[in-house]
Amino acid sequence: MKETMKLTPDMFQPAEIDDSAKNAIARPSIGFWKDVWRRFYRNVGAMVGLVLLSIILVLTFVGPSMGKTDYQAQNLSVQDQEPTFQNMISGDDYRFGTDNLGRDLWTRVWYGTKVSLMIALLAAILEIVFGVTIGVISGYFGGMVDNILQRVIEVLYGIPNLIVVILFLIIFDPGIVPIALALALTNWLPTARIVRAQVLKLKSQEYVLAARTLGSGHIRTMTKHLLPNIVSIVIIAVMFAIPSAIFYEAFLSFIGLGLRPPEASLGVIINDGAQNLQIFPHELLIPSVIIGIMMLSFNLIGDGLRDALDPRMRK
Amino acid sequence: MSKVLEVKDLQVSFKTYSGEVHAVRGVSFDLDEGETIAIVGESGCGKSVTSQTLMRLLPSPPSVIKGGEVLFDGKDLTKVSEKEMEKIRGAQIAMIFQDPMTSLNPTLKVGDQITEGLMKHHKMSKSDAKKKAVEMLKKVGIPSPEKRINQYPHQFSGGMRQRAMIAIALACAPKVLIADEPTTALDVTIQAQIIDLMKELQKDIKTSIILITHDLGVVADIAKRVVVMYAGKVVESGTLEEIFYQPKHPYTWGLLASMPRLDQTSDQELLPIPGSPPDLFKPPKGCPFAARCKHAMKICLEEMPEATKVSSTHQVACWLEHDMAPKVEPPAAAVGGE
Amino acid sequence: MDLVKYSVRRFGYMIVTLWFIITVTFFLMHLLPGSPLRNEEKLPPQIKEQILKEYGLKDPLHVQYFRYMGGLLKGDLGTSMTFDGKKITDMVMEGFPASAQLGLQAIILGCLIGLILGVISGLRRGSWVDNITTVIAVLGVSVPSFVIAAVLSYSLGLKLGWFPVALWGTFSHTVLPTLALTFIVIAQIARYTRTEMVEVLEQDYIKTAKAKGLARNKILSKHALRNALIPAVTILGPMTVNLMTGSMVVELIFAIPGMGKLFVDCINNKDLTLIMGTTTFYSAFLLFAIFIVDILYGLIDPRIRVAQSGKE
Repeated sequence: MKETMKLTPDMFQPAEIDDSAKNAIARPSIGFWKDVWRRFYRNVGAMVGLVLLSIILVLTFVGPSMGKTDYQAQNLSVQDQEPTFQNMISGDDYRFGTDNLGRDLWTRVWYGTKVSLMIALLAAILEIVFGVTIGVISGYFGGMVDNILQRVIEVLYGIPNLIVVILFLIIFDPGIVPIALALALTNWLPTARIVRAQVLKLKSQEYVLAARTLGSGHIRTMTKHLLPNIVSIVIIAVMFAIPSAIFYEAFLSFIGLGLRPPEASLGVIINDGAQNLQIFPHELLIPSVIIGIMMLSFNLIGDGLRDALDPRMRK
Repeated sequence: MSKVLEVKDLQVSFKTYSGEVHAVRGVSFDLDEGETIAIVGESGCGKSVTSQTLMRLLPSPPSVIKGGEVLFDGKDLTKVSEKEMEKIRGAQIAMIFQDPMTSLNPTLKVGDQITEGLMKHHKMSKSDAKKKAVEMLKKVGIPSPEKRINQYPHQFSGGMRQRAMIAIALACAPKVLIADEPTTALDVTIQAQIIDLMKELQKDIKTSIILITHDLGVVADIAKRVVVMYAGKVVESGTLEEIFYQPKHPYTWGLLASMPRLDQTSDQELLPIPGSPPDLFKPPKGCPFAARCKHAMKICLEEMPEATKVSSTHQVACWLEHDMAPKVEPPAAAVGGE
Repeated sequence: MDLVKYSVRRFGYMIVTLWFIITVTFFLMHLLPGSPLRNEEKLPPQIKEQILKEYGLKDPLHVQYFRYMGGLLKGDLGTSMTFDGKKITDMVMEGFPASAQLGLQAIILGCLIGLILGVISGLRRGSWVDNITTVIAVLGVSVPSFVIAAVLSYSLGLKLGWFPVALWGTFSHTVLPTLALTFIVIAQIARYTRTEMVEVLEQDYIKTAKAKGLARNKILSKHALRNALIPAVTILGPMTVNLMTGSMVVELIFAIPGMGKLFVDCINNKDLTLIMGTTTFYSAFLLFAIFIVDILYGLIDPRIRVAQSGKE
């Protein structure tokens, strides 16, 4: 076969082997967050989502000042004006046209997007705060506390979300905070469950035990050792909570439980547009496309982050 | 005795996102009729890949057979069509897997899982197959088999599931049974029962067995010949006595020294093998064990040693066998010393 | 624990939850500030008094509560305040058939398409079917139902004139709203089935089946499909909830006289008794649907159906 090398007695001398090489790993090792970023960066969908979302975010800030009037000024002489491509680019006339009260749709849409985003963000933050707090408490203390909390959660799980949100908004008149609160109130349950499960898993691991035996207190143990480990779950939960909140806000506006005029959100604008759909479809289509892009972007980013943070969950 | 199965220089790789992992790098062994051989080695040494390649169970891609032959019944199994392979699987060569908890379909009755193969290979009617299934369950020692065939896997305990797996595998009386770590997932007391059962049925059905394991205790119990694998290569092979009492390869020494044995004196320690096997993503050019070998020489790092015949049945691939190499005695812990 | 015991316990849970929702709703509605007749501020005091008495709203709260609960047991959801004393039970029964038909059509169509897409894309990862399925799944969760409904109504209905865009009556009236509703069903079922399929194909028992010498088609139909489809039943519960939000929107856009429209109308009219009645009906319906799905799952998955009984 490959008897090419000439064997000499010298070659049968003991070899010097670097001890550290015994356990060396041939593949390069990469840090956790760097690896996450690498996987996220390679995800085409997530990058597209990130770009689209950035554009929308920029427009919610600069958009309103690029319009002809502010979001609630009415001009009854230019009702239901349809947008033209030329106007959209040049901004000579209403870029997105006007609605049936002659309001500038461009300004309204971007202002409404900002309001919708604010509601969604607030709802997501509240939801995470409720969910993580309850989940960590339940999982960390265990025993009696856990038992009671789990029974309560079980009962609350049985109640349809929609019913809770609707009742809540019938009682408290709709506004940014009540809507966000109503959404958070129904959506914290799954977050609490996942966080609790994760805490239970982590709790039994040795480094937490080590921290406890070294005399670190409850609060310190929780914040220093447990929270960093559930950050991944929380990030993923937020990314999926936001589009769901955007949808619910719009849905609530649609069934008449949204913000009151003259306040505007995407849902309110879509609801206004739906009345005129058959004659002036742009009044519904423009805000619908924006909301679709926004939810799509968040979902794509969320999928990308989930795959990047936890490769085992990759589909 | 005639050979049922002959593996020659088998090479299997996996294509991954960052390149090729050379899992099996030229493995050869053969199997006589009615014989039991054991393939031993650490996890990741390629023994499972080898065994699954014999039956072409690995999905391709990512796995690729890069070379070599698997001769069975006059055919090269690496080359036959998928249709032909289907006729061989289950009928001629059968397999049992490591984890009886996951290798039975949870939504099908145990009886149906036994009759499937019979109906396909022996063209039995449903009722005949069912009778045969009851008989098989009785043979593998499951009480009240008439009742049991209508139950689902989750109604069986772990040991009983492995018995059921054996019933499935042996139902068509295959010429070769490949048992991939059949006892690893079981309790120690049940392990012995399963091994005894396999020995008993082997006599009955006259099957040859290839036992894949990392447990030398199990090997001593059942195998006549042993193939020791390391990093996708066969480093030593021989009869049970040769491997256990005259081991030649330092890796075999390591394996034996890390196993508790009855003739051990109480002050002898179990010796682990330091380090871990090389990454087969980038296999070393010399002997793969050199980096962990106490007796490594310069040549070991440069070139893979050829297999040397120690006796007509005993082969070893180690530079220590070369005339120019220093004489090294196996450690007492490996061969059982005074 | 066998299935009967399990069902009885789940049924008990359902009843308690339902009672909880109804009670909370009742007291919330009655503790709302202001008179239930808030839309009729201009009425003379005597007539107002008269109406309140007629509806039993002058009685102590607990009396009203027990009367309401008693009525519910007899299937009486109360009387609407804005529709001239119309029985709510009758109103619900008028609206329910249309909504139920839409919902059923959407579920059946969605499950069919979703399962086919999901299974094929699970089997052939990376193929064009898989790519289409991915796009549908992402769009399905990203594009709100009202947008889909509006686009369908405008394109297929108004511009192309293939189907009527409003009202109810013939089968062709149901086409657009069914399509609008079924989108989310397709998306969810396809995505779920694909994931399950991929997971099942990696299971050891698939390897066992292959090692038995079974042909690929047989392995797929007998071993893979069955195990992949059983968990899909579990999403039928949440799906019903999704369809409910969808139906409110879709019925509004297509002017269909169904439950969803009734509910939205009563919210906008602040008709408190009607809100209470429809909420009760919705909750009962949803809880019952989830209960049925639970039992169904137990029936088809032997691990639950015959749990533990023969284990040593």
